[in-house]
Amino acid sequence: MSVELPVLTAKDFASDQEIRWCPRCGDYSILAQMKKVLPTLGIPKEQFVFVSGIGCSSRFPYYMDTYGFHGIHGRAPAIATAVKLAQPDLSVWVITGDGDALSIGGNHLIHAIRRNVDLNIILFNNRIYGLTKGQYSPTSPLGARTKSSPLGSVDNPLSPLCVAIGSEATFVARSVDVDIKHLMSVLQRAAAHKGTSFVEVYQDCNVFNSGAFYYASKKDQKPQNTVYLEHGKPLTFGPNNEKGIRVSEMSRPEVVELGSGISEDDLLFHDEQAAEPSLAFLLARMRYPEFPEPMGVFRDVERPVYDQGVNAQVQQAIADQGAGDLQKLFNSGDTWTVE
Amino acid sequence: MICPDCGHDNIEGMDSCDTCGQPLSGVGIETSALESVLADQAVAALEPKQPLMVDAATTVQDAVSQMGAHRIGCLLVGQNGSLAGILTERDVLNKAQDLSRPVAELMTPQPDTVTVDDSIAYALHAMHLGGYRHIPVVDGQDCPVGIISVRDVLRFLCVNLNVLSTVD
Repeated sequence: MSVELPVLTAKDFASDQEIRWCPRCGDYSILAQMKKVLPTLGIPKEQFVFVSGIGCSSRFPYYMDTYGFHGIHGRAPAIATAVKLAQPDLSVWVITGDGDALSIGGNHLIHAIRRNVDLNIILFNNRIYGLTKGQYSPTSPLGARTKSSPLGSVDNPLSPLCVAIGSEATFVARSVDVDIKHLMSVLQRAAAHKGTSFVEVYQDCNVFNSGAFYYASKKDQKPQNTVYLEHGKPLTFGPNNEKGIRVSEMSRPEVVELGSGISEDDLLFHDEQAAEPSLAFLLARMRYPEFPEPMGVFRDVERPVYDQGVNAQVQQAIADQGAGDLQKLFNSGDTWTVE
Repeated sequence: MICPDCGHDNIEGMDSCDTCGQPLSGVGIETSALESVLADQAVAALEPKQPLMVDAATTVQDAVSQMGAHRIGCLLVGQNGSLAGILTERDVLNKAQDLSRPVAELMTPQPDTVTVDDSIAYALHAMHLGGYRHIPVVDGQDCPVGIISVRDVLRFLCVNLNVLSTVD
């Protein structure tokens, strides 16, 4: 007998908690799109879990009517890994920010990614510490003047996508908070991927770092400053798709004008399934203003999934040695009594 | 009730936004009137004044005369239509020794700026961070389109927080 799942809507995922983000914060849009995406995944509501660390973005689990865990700073990937290992049927989402994931949590992030745990990691990148009112973060650009860098930051910023690709991520994507349809499609792709899905979302902190992503979100600037990736398609951009990205003989990307001897066939064609991550890395290193910044899925490849591997070993051990007995384990080996 | 997601103006009391479905319960409840007005309203609401622009080669003496004539505390220094710097009365007071020198030598080059779409909270944050009384407003191409001062913010707050009405 088949069980029919109830039809869910975005409202079913709204919690009764008062939202405490600043008015006009980009987080609202990401939250709204997440609530719209979850009902489309065909997963029972009780199987969703949201795990977060510390920061503005990490308040996310409070606002979802799902299981959730507001964890400790930077440790969301570790907690989420344990959740996924213990309950492999759950759809586990990690919500983090540029400070939480790349500063204190950098270590946990790269290990979750390299293990390819079946998690969906969504990194809200606003290039600032918002919760603590405006200090520079690991993604703040050089020269950024903030409360903790009054003379301008001298720290070279990290690229979240480069970190993920360098950690051998099997799914890497980027979107923008206010690009509603695109963000929804990227979240759906991330959910569908088996293994760690890493998504960077450009998120406007309208109080402490306003306009950091105007170049990629404003209607009049976005066409010339972003290039939307489509698997198997050439990289074209511009208000009329009149420009493209070509790879030079030195294996470097370059912006070219289409026409006058240059056709789409000369351009770089996107291959999100390329076995080697070099194309994804090249794309992730394209930064505004020198290049249009790529949006969409950079990489989507298959690799053995950590939780499946671990649980297969557990099942094999049970088959070989029988079910474990925790009490027996406690009393095994060198034990002694303290009197 | 303005949707914080898409900006759609919903009827008061709506549970979710008519346009994008964003839940509206709790929106604005916990934020104070001050927080709301600062984060909700954009710099455009301050009605930035047209900036007084001078060339980098203008003498400090000329610049001071113009500031006096227009009863303003600062002017912007332009170069080929874009913003090269800002000269304030503080620059003149603290740095000017020879009024015949060009403003380029006294101005603060490449000043922090805001756009008309930035929140007033962000403009205040930037002014607080840099200790500025004035901050230029630029367009998407970094061309100056206005200037705002702390006085503009004070006026805005008085009007929007009904301070004036209580004084009356």
